[in-house]
Amino acid sequence: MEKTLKTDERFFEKASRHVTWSNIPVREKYGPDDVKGLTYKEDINDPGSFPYTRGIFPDMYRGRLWSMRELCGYGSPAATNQRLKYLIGEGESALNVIGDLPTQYGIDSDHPCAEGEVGLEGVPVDSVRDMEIMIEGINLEATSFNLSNYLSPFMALYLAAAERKGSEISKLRGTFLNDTLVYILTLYYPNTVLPFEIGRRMTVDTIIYCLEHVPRYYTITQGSEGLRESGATAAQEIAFDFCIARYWLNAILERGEGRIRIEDIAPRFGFTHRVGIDIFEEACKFRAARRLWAKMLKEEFGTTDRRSCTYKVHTPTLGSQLQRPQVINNIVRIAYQTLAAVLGGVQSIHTMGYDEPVALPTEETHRLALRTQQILCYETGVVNVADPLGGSYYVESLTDELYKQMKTIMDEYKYTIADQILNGDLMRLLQNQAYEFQKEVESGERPIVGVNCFTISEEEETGEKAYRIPEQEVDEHLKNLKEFKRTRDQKRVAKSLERLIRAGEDEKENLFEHVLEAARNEATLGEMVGAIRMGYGAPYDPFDEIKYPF
Amino acid sequence: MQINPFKEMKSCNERGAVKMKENLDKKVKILLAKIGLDGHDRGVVILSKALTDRGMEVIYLGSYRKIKDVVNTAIQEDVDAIGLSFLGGEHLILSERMLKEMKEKGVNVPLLVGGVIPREDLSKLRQMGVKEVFISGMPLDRIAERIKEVVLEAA
Repeated sequence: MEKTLKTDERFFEKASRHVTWSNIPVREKYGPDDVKGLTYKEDINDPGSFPYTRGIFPDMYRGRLWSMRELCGYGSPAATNQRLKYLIGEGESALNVIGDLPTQYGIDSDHPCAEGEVGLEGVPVDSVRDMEIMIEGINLEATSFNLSNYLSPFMALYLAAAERKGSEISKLRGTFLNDTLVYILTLYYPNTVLPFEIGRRMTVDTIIYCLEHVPRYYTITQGSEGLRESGATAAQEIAFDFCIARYWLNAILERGEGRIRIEDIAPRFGFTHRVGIDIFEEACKFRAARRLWAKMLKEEFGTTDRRSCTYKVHTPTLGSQLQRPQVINNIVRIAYQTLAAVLGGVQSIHTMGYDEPVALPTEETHRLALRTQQILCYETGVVNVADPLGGSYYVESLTDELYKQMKTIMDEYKYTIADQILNGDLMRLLQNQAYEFQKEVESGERPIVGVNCFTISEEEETGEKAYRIPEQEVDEHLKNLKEFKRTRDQKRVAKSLERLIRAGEDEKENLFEHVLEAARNEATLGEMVGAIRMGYGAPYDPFDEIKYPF
Repeated sequence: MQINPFKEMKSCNERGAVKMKENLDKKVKILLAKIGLDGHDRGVVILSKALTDRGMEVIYLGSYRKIKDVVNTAIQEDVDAIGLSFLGGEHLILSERMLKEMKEKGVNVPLLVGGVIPREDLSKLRQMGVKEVFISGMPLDRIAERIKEVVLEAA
C-alpha cells in the first residue's frame, strides 16, 4: 500500500480488507440463504410501516427532503446571527447552533474560568438579550432550530427570546439535547459541575413542561458526539443510546405518576447519530436502528403508535474520520458519508467542513459543506426512491447482523447503563477501542489514504486556511453582557432566582417552569445553573471563584 | 505498509543519537493533560496509552485541569516533560499562560503541545517557548521518538 509500490504490483492489487469499518466480517457474496431467517412483514416491511426498517414515511424524500442543517456558533451572538443568515441565504433549510464551552459548563462569559474561551467552539449566550441578537431577523415559526446544548437554561433563553420577538412558543419546532446523562458521558465533567441528581431532574422536568407548552419540540436528543467520536462501533452507538433513551422514558413515566403515557413522550425523542464513511454499514445501521426502536417500543412499552415507534435521526458526518494530512481529501470523505446517510433514510444532516481538522469552517468551507448535500440531493437521483438498497441480500443480511449486535448490547446494559456512564466504565471501554483502532492505523492494517498510504511530504501540504474567531466580536459581547447586567431590573432577577432555588428544594415543583420564568426576567445562564445547584445544597459556583450575586 | 514520518521535524543529530542510545534505559516521565474547558480527549487518551506501551511513565491528568494544578503536579511528580492537547482554537492563549505559570514556579521541563492546530501557528508556539508541536495525523511512533529527543536535549 505504500506510495512507492511498483505499478505491476498495483495493477494486480486485490481488495484485501474484508471487514466493515466496525470490523464486522463480510463475505464475497450474499444470496437468498443469507436472508432466510427474515420475514418481510415482521422484520422489514414497506417504508412507512412497522417496524419501519425501510424508512419512517411511505414516500420518504418525495414527501419531504431531509433538513440541511449545518452546525453554527461563532465568537458572539451577532457573528453567529450573521453566519446563520449566510447559510439560510445559501439554501440551508433548518438551523443548528451550538453554545460555546462556558455555556456548556453553565457559567457566564464573564466568569474567571471562561476567560480566553468565550466564543471559541460555539456561540456565547448568557442572557435573553444575547439570544435575541442571535435569532434577529429569522422567522422561527417557519423553520426548525437545533439547540446543541445540554443545559435547560439555554433552551429557556431561546424560548424567552422567541417570545420577545413575537413568536408563540407552542408553534416552535426544533430539537434540544437536554440529556444530562450523555452530558456527563460526552463532556466527562467532574461530578461537581452538575451532580447527576440535579441533571436528572433538569432533563425530566424540561421534557414534561414542554409536552404541554412547547409540544412540537424534540425536547431530548440522544447521541451528540460522545459515543461514536470517542470510539464506539456502529452497533454500540445505537445500542448505548437506546439504553439511555429507555432510561429516560422510564424516568419520565415514573415522574409522571400515571398522568403521562408512553405515547405522549416517546414522540418527543429525537436522535443525533453520526454517519461514517462505510456506506453499507452506515445505511444498514440506520435501517437496523429503526427496526430496533420500533420493536423496543412495542415489546417493552406496549405501544405501536406510529409517532412513538418511528426513529427520527439527525446525522452529523463523523468528524473523527476526517484527516489532517492532505486535508482537502476530506471533501470526498464527507460526500461519501452524506451519501450513506441519505441511503439510510435519515431526517436531517449536518455535513462538516473539510477543514475541521484545522479549525472551525470558514464561510467558504461552510458553503461547500452545504453544497455537498445539495449536489447529492439535486443531481444524483438518490432521493427518488424510498430505501433504494432494500431487498439486497447483502444489505438485509448486514442490517440484521447489526440489529442482533445492537440487541445483545441492549440486553447486557439493560439495568446498568446509568451506572456504567457515571462510574466511567463506558467511557473507558470506548477509549480502549479508540486506541485499538489507532493501532490498526499505525500498523497499516487499516489503510487511511494520506495518513498511512499515498502520503505526501509536509512541503507539499496545501489548502489550509484557518478560520479565526474575531477577537473584537468577543470583546463586544463581553461589553454587552456587562451593560446588560448593570441595567436590568435587579429585584426581578433576584426574586426569580430565589424562586428557582426554592423549586429545586421542592420536588413537587416543575423546575423548568421556574427556569423559563427566570430567563424571561433576565437572569443569566450562569445565574440560573448556579441557583439550581443551590436548591440542591451545592455551591453556586462549582469552581469556587465567584459568589451568588444577590 | 510503511508509515511516512513527518519530514519537517529535525531528526536527532548524530551526537543526540549517541546520547540517546546511552539513555535508552532511562524511563521518560511525562505529564499529559487538557487545560481549559474543552473536553475533546480522544487524541490525548490514545497518546497516553501509546506512550505507556512504549515504555514511558505517563501521568494523565484528564480534561478541564487548571494551569496551576498541572504545574504543581509537574513539580510534585518531577516529570521530564509536560504535554498539553488542544482542539478548540485556545492553544495560543492557554500555552502562553501555561509557560508563564511554569516560569513563575521555576519549572524548566519542555512543554509540548498537540492537537487541532493550524500550521501557521506552529512557529508562533515555538517562538513562545513551546518545545514541540504535534498536529493530528502524526504517527504515534514518531511522536514518542520526538518526545524522547526533546527530553534528552533538555537534560
